[in-house]
Amino acid sequence: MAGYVFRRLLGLIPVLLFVSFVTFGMVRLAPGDPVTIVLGGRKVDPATADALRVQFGLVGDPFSQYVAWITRAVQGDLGESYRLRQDVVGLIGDRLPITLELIALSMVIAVGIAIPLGIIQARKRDSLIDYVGSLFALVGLSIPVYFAAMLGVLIFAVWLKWLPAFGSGDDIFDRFRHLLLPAIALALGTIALTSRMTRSAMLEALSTDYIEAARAKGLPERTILVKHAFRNALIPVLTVTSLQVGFLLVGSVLVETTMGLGGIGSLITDAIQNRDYPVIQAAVLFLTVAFTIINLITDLLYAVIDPRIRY
Amino acid sequence: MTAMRAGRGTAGDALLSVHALEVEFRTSAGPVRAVNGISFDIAAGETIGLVGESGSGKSVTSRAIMGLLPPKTSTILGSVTLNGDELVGLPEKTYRKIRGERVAMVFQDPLTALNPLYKAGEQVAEALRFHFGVSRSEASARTRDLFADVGLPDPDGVVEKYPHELSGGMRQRVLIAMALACEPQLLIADEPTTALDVTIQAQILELLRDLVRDRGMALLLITHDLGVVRELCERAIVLYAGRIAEVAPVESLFAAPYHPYTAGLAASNPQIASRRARLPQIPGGPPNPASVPPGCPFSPRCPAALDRCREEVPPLVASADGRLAACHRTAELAAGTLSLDWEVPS
Amino acid sequence: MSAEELPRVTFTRPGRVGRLASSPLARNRASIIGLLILVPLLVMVFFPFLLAGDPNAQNLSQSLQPPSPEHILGTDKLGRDVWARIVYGARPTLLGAFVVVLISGVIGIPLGLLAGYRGGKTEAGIMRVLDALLAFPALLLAILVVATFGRGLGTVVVALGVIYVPAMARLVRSVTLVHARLAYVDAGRALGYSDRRIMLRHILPNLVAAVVVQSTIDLAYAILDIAALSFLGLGQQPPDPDWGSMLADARSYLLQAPWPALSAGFAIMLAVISVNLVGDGLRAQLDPRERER
Repeated sequence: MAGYVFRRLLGLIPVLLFVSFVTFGMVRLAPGDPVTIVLGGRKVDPATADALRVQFGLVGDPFSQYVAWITRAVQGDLGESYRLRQDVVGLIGDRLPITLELIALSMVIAVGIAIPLGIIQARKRDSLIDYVGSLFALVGLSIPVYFAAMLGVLIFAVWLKWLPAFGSGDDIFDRFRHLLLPAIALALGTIALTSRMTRSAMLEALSTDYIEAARAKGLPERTILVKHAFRNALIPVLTVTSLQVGFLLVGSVLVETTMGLGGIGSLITDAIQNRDYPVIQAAVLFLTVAFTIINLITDLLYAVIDPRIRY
Repeated sequence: MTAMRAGRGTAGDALLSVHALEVEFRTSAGPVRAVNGISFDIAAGETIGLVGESGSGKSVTSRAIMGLLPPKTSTILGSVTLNGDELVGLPEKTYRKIRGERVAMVFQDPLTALNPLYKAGEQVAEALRFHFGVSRSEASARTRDLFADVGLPDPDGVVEKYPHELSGGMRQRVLIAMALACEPQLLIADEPTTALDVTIQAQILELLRDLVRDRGMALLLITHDLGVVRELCERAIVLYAGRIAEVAPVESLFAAPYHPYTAGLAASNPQIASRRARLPQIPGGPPNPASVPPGCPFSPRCPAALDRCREEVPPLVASADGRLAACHRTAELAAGTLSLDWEVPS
Repeated sequence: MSAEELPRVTFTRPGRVGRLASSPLARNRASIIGLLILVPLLVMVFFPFLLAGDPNAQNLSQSLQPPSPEHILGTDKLGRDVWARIVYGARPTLLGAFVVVLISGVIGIPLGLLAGYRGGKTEAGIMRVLDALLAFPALLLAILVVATFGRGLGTVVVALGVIYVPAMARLVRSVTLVHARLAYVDAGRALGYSDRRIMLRHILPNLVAAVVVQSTIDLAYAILDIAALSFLGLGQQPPDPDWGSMLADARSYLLQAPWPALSAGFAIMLAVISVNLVGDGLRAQLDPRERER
């Protein structure tokens, strides 16, 4: 088991190198002078432009530039936002907590609703709740996150006045109130996919021989459902869930602006609007690295659940 | 209908009594009758073989006895009594107590019948804890003993292993141990050796024979393999298309079959047929349970079929020697005046 | 994708509709609903002028009007008719999504075939590249690409097309693997040069089924992704209408005049729902295992 973990951690390094190389190097592939993209169309004097060129590794051969860049990056220097005149790393750091809270809350809500829903749907197949659940999943899959957020604001903030429409709140409880709406909007797609997957994985698990053998032993239905069927169903569910984290990360980019949350997502959105390339580059890199690490953690979780994978 | 005790050596009340059992499934293609009026008894300590091809209803019968048929899509008619207690229609909760403790099942494919995520020992101990409420350590100890009883060379090691770490034969022994754990009176073995290598098959059969004898259990062996039946069983029930074709003690069954189907099976089986250069075949295949022909279900394939056979379903009738057969021409077969010409493939 | 055989399918339009209508599955009732929604959407894409007037005509005196007989979905901030903008906004979103799936197929299917058929180093190399693409969350990569290479619907569509390649290629590869192996195992089939021909005859029909199913899934995601990128300002540039950018604009006056936002949002939703319904129906027809569900 320890060997497996170590090997997976080792395998992480080339992926991270690759991702950072692509993020770093993409701007060099752009047509025209890459500096213009970095500058976002602003005009500067040649000296500043040259300095930026060096900072972004746009002069000289790609590899040595990349090495220099990655060295700086690992030390916490991802460049400076030209527009905001602030270290990008600092910007990300400030906004990280809100995004983390949003994604965590979203994941908890999603899993908390989707998995029980999927299990109930499998248990009571073709019943009303199965049908309604599937309908709900269809809508959840089809609605754009930012629209769901807007609808949520219209219904719960404006019409019913239960929740705030904007901002991220002060203390913990207030923060929770403010994040609830965007977290739910974000979670809808995940709930849809996860409940579907849970349902089908449970149905498949329940039709296996070992479940029949467990019944033949005379075990009670609840034990069979939870201890035997669900643990096997967990494997495909975990796949879907780990993919979903990527969607949540991405979704936060879309939802945060809609609801005035000051997280990394809105950092990217603002940067896109302001053509602040350094920020876009750095934030995309940061989120992708986070995505990769989360995928690794999920893979390791598989090994905990399924003993067949450990070798 | 009470003459179902043909060929039994010991007298006394039956352990298991199946009477006029019918099982119908509701499918998207309409109702399908998988079992169409089967009756038989098993006495304590008896070993019976339930023989048939796929679609004959043998597996469905075993599931019906265990109460493992899907409740929403299946209908059971008739009666199944265990020690006089009626099983058909029992509420699920009561059935759970019976499963494992009074009747247990050994499944066909040991790889898929064991949960891949739990250790072998745990899956056996689970049954012990649930049925007898014993502590974990007690359950572990009993599991180890069971594993030794079923002939596993390293019982302690196997307890800690996962199913995928064991060989096919070892897994089947684990399954048998699991079935024996709660000391049932009746053991149902559904094709216990089909998924195993030939050399292992012999070992498992021997194991079953010894265990059943030592513990005084009755064994209902479900199989399509006539060789296995001859090895292990005292009596055999031959099923065809959801009905009983013939019931007889094993030796006389193959030496002198009273039903053309049995005769065909025996003639085409390399272990039982006389030594010939080419073995005959029964032409065609068993009918689809969704569309069984009228009259005797075997008539389309039977070389001795008469018009009467195609119109009238032959009843299950006892002969003078106590054997049962469902064929209009049993008398001729028994007397030896009917010769069956099976096709020999060229 | 598991290693089970996919059925052979022939694709003649009337046949499919006929089978859909006569199949007892409830799924197919749902996919008919999907098709019913899809038809007006297709009209919007190809013949928008039949349904509405000029989407760019401004009339500031009529800004933010609620729905009325003249403007059935009201007007936006610049007094433009929302209904017209929805109708004309269908094309970039839906046609764009279709092109995305097309690109991913044109690139992905040959790659998957090559990987599955050749095996060995070719396969390993191709899979390596695909895995590299998959290291990025799709939308983030799209954002980076479009921010680098220039905004606009064209870049968006090409970027997404490439990003969707791994899904299609992997699917094609696994179908190819299954059938290539089957062909070799069956002794009667492995006969010299007829190998390749036989494999094409057996693989291709099964491929069609798998590709169609994957395409509907991808189409739904493509619609959402294009709309999302437009929402961020990276897609269709103003003043041309596009559902995503309409939503972005409408956000600022959401509380005063929700109609433009609701129209654009529901338009996207209905389009995706209809694609999903049709996709479910197709999947139910094409995958015999699904019939058990």
